[in-house]
Amino acid sequence: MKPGVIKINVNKTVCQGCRTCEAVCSLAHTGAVSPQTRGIQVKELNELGKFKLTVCQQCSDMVCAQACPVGCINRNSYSGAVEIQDGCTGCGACAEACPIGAIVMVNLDRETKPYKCDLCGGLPECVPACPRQALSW
Amino acid sequence: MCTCLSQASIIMVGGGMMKGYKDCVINVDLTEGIITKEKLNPDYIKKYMGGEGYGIALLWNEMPHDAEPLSPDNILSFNTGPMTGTPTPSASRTSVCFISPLTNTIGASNVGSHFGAELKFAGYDTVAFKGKSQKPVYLYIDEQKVELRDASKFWGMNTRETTDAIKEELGKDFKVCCIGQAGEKLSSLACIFSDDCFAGRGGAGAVMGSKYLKAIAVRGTGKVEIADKDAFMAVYKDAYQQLRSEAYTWGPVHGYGTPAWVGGSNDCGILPTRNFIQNQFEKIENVLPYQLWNNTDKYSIRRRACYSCQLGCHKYVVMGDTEVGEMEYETLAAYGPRCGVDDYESICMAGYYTTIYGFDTISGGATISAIMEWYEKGIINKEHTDGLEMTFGNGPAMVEMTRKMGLREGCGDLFADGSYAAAKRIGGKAMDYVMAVKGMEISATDPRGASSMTIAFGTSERGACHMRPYAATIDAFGYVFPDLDINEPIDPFNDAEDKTWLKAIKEYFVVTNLAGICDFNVINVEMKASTIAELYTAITGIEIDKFELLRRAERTIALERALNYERGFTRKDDRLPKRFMTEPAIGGPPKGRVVDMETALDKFYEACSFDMEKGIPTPEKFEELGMADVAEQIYSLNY
Repeated sequence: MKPGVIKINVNKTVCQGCRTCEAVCSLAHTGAVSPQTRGIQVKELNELGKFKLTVCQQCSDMVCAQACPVGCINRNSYSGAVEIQDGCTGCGACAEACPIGAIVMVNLDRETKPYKCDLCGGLPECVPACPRQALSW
Repeated sequence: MCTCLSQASIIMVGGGMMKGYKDCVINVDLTEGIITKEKLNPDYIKKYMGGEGYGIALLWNEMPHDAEPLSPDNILSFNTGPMTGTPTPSASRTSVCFISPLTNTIGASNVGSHFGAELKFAGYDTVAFKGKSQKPVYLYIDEQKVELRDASKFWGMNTRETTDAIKEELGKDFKVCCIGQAGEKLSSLACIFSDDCFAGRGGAGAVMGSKYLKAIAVRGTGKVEIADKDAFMAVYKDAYQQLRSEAYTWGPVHGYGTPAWVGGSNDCGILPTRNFIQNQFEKIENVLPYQLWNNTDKYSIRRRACYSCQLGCHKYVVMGDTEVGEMEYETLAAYGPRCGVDDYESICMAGYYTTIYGFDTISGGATISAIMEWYEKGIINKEHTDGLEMTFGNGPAMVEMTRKMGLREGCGDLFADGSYAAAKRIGGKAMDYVMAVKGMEISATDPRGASSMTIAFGTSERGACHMRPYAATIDAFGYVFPDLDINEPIDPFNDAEDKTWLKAIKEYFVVTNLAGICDFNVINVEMKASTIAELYTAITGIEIDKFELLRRAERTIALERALNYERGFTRKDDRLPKRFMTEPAIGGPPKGRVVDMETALDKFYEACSFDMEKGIPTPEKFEELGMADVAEQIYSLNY
């Protein structure tokens, strides 16, 4: 895994776990809000007020793309984000391959699909929505 | 069974398709152990929007109006709003509605955390409980699967132990609402706990306890649909900007949480001190929040926000090995200045016991301040207090009394139902020192320093509540709010001034409870009412303007007053304790001032079109609100 440079950077020490980033991500990508369909994940750890944030590192070696049996994970030439494009069969190989668990497989409306951060095509919605400036890019 | 099992949750109201709602209610009959699901009542939505309005409509339409608060007849409902679960700022709220054992009026108390959003994601707007179980149970909701499960093994556990034990059993991704020992022991101050957030006021926890309902656990992975994504994306950004442009909200409150208010409150002479004998605290310096924050050797402050909250007012104190819990303005003011206590350690420990046993910090601290005044005036003595020296300023005695109240241990039994109930048992002059309206203790704002709060506390439908509305922002702190036509600063000391503005502000606050968002979007008049209307339209697809938005709150208030009236509440119950009318404020800007209660009530009733004696909307007003049926029912009663 070779993390890329242009990606969402997180400062977990200031996160307060409101999950606005997840909600905005879900809305921007699906038109609805679901706790599952998001490219950034907030998890509360065992210690009070400590959170873990997981988001795609837009790796240069694209481990997920290498694992994809149908070759539908590619880099967007405009945003530079690693994107899941048309043709996905929902097999889950990319999610298994990602070393940090930044791809989630979601079963919603009788369809299984992977969700990951695509930098919203170039201008990430979650970054300005975060009230704690825990996200930057 | 309703058809809300399908993915497309659309209900028809007024001919339009409405998203945002899930169009599904869970009804639980605890006596019979039967769970049913049904669609939302479209009439309730059209008139009252949702949230608190929905819960009150349930009480009005489905409960005997003379139901005893702790009887199986009482309906306890958990109501999300159409905005709950969306990225609207602080769209986390669930309004809990019931008949209050503390006041015998309607009870409406709302809680944040992540519970409400999870309930929406599971596919439900409302969960309503009737009846009484034979043994302790909890309600398990995992998507479509809803069951009553045995809670015998959790009975007797405190709030945090219960939450941990349920998550241990079901999985960490469940969100839990529960009661602690105070609720089990039917304390009228008991609250409902959800991850250190509380439906705090009015004794909702006791109603849960009376039904043998220990908890609700929910997991949901579905979705809340938005009618017009592009419009919503634009409006929520505008809403964020409005919050972030309000310096006090986005600065000190974002940083310190609500304790940031304590200094300004003292400066304005509205900080209750020693059971309202004083309105400023001479030791204020010791309780300013930076004293806690900066004492890093002793305290560590953590942040954990409710769902989708921009502000994150909840700041958690860890003191040594003790996870104290949230420190907020009302807790600090109730257990600090109001009891004459200036040491944070005692304030924190009192807050800790209210958290783990699950009872209201406002009424808890207020009851102790009454105990202290009774004790100092010789109305009670050590025989009433298990030997505790209950003088103002005695922090350790305050903490021990709080512990006893939470567990109803020893003398705690006398005080566990609040100062009003205790005064009735003590007799003599005890009632003269009860700072409560309708039996609910006044929270931490002195009405002598803000005419608007005279009305807020006096006329609140659930007893003395500072959020219906918290209008000291406008008169005492001097804010203007052109969106609701408040263009000039308002005199905080003039009870004879026109109160039309206050009617609008009260409705504006109640709107947040209907929509499922937090009052902290409006407490410093941050978010415009017109913006809330735009958000509602974008989410639901129903065109609405700010006037109709306020109208839905007005209807909710009218229905609450109607139900209270049927239960015997009239103008006589809208008055503050006589201390505020007879003892002048002794410091700060309101120095020398007393409240002119009758004039203030006249002006407010006039602005609201209330009957001057009955304290309910006139028949013409009910008619205008489309509630002629309600008027017909209550105007046939005579008191």
